[in-house]
Amino acid sequence: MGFLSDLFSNLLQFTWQQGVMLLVGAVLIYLAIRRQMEPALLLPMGFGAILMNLPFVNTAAIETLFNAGIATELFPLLLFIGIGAMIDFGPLLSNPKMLLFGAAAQFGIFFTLSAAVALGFPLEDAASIGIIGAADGPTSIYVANYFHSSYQGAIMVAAYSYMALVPIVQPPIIKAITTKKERQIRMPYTPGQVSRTTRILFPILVTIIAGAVAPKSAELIGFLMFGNLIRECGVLGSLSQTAQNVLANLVTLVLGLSVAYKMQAELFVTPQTLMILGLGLVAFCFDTVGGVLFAKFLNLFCKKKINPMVGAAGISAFPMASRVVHKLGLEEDPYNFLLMHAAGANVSGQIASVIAGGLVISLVEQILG
Amino acid sequence: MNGFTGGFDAALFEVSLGIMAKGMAGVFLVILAIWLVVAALNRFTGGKNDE
Repeated sequence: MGFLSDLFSNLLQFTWQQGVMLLVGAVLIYLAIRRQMEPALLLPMGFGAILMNLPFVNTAAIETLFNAGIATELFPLLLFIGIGAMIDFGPLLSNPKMLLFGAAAQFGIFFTLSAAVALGFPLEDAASIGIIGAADGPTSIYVANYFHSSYQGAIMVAAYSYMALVPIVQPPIIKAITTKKERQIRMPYTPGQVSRTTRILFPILVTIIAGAVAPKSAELIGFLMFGNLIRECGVLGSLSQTAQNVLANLVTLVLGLSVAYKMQAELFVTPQTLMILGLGLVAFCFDTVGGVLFAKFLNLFCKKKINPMVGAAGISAFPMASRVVHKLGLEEDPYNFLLMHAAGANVSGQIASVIAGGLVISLVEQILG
Repeated sequence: MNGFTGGFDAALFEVSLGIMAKGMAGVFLVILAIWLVVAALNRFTGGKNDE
């Protein structure tokens, strides 16, 4: 009997909060495998959540990964090299007007920041929660870690879950704030030629501009643009492939496990986690609203009307948001191909979300002193 | 562990609205600057396939 009680003594130390976390881990793994929602991240996060919440388990390795890769901001930055190498800015460069939608669709970040403050979160946590609206995992991790938010686990889960849920979240909002006639507006695609010089100079100049205006975004945008420069320079094909595949996959794998360090029951099983999940949804909704309403606003002045749905693609979730817009366009008119316009807005959202992240850090820091 | 109050702080909310205004203005400013640069690049190099 003594032997058995020794063997199962760990089970007696099990708290109900840890049980909840095992369930959360299982749900994340289910969503990753069965629903294929951001599986590269939700699966390691789910497994990590289970591992972190077993009583008396030595989690020194995960803690080391967290301290080495997230506390130092290294993993999100390395991941950005891979993401930068994956992005083709061609549709944006040939139609730079789409840049505006990337800016407009960051509204959800700032709206949610205010909503979180109204709910009673301190400013640095509210800023970290608002950044869920960047619809961009690495930026969310970067900002939440910058402010040492206690809610990093919940913020990561919300950011990556809603990114995967873009095809479910966006369509009803777009339909609610546009008329059928607006959704049927055709936008013929006549791309201008983009020279190789432009493609090479673009990442360098964006880094300089963003770094000059929003210095806190320089690192993030710099790594993103460095990845893109590797892709576009034309002499580092092998490195570009490595960044897009091996580097991005490897960093994603350890990133998911590292984030799980902040999914300990005492940090995660709180009413605030539910509030953060709700606020994350608000952020994605108001990003969409911001982009669509801005397109409608531009239509008041433009001769060539813009299909306002393209504004919704300005959120950073790439390429889901542009696919959603393209699909909705085809639903209304089978001959309306919005994909390239939406892709331009979508990659603009990638740049704008990083700039927004840098600005949030600068503005909140100014206030906190 | 954290400073969650659950209460509404009117002064802090006002500050957050200021962040919203400045933040959106800042994002648009940077994006407009990038637009100008891209337009200039396209104007001076566009159409030339300089590979």
